[in-house]
Amino acid sequence: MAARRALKAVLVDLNGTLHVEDSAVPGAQEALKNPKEKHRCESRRNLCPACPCVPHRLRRAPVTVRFVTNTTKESKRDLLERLTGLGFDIAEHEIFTSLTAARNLLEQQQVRPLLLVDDKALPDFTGIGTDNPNAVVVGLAPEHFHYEMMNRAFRLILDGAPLIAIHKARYFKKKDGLCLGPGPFVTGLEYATDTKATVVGKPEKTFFLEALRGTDCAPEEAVMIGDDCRDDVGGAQQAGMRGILVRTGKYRPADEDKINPGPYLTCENFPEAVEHILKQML
Amino acid sequence: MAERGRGWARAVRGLLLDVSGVLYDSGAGGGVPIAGSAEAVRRIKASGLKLQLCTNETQATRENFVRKLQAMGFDVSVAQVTAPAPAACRLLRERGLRPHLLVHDDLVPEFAEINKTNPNCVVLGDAAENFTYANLNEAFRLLIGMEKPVLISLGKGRYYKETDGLKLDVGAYMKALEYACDVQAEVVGKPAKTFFESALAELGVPPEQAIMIGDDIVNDVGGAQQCGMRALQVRTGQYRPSDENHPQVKPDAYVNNLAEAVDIILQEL
Repeated sequence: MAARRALKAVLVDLNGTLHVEDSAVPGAQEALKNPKEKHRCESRRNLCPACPCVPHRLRRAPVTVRFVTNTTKESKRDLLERLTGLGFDIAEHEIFTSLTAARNLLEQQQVRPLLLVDDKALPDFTGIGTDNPNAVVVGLAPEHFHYEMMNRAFRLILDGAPLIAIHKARYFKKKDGLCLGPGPFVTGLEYATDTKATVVGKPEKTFFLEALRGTDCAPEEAVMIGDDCRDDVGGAQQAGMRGILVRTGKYRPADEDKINPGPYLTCENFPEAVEHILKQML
Repeated sequence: MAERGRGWARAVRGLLLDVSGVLYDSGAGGGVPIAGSAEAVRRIKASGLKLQLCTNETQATRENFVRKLQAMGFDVSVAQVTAPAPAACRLLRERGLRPHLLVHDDLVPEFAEINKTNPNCVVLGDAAENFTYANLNEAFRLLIGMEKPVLISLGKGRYYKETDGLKLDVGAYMKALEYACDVQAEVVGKPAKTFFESALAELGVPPEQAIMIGDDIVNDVGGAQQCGMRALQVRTGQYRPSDENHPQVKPDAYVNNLAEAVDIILQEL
């Protein structure tokens, strides 16, 4: 591997990496924590990879941490609530989601969206004008995916409104079976209007670059930790970062082989990934 | 364009006409005829040229569709309509397929004779208000549960014009289900070659002596040209000026409307 610049940022996926559904990955809270108060290590160094008295903790290292996730339903506030409830030490400004990415894009392009997103996601768009829309944002919103609304979105796009997709998942699983995701509806609109949607979520390169915005950190100085080989690791590596795959969440054996080049590293879980970062990458 | 060279109008024995956007604009209350088109149909008939309507209309049975056209002043009969539903029924019978229908309520009678129990394929038409999330999801679940999903789409148009504006056509929903299930739909209707061929057979004229007139650059014009016919695009219905820069399809001529096309063709007879 070519010489690398010092690591300055760590991006961490949420579901499947820090927690799986409603349970934290064992040791993940500890691995993240800043142990300032409890730590009595004699070392003067900023960090002490060999220190035996505490587990290795990401927040002791001189790196920026960002939590990045594809979500179409949960606002940052909802995510923060869930993570705090699971015992994670996280601040709202550290969370970057596909909804945040969509919002940033709307602000950059100074457009007023027709928001086909779940009501729960609306807090992330607070302050964005939606009167007389000239853009279309598609998230996961079955209640909006009906004939009339689809026609409305279609006409706006045909008149030149940009089509922004939170992501393009084909379907998702509910208790009673599989359900259509936003991808099919985005694809239908693309076909009808002969345009391409701007997809803002993982694994898009812009997603990872946007997540680093304000951190003063180049992609080469960042590492992404996630359980989705294509969307987390492959996407980050395409953006110039290093990617660490964890064998938790949706991981299945041989997932490493799904991307070429393969992951920079594969670890058992988030704590092991943190240990590697602290020992080897700083 | 229509003024420049009229070679395209020579040696014609029959015309295939698209309906929505050429004869009338559909919409609430049944729609409104496009100025001059009813008269144009009468003149075609009087001239001795053969005439067949080649439509992807799937919001009504052919009987009701023809009744509606007659009420708007068009002198046409059921036998003069080539439409996707009857073609789909032939295909279903030939292959022993039992469809789940996601179509307009008014089209269902066309499938009255078809066995629909325990479906092993999905037939998609322009279902309009029936394109709900729940209905699309039901079709999706059937398809994704099949060992080899079979999706039959009655046309693949992108959109069409109604009196209150442009509407998504069946093609958008076909693409949605294709993407969701990772399948390729079989299209019955324009622009499928077999569909134009059956329309020509009903017209009783070989492709090189027939002209297709439509408002859809890809499905009418492109499809007909693929079959060896000449094809005109009218500047009515879903026509948009950007169609004239279409990267793949170039009509044999543009005409402002059906009446103008008929004027020129009759002059060249």
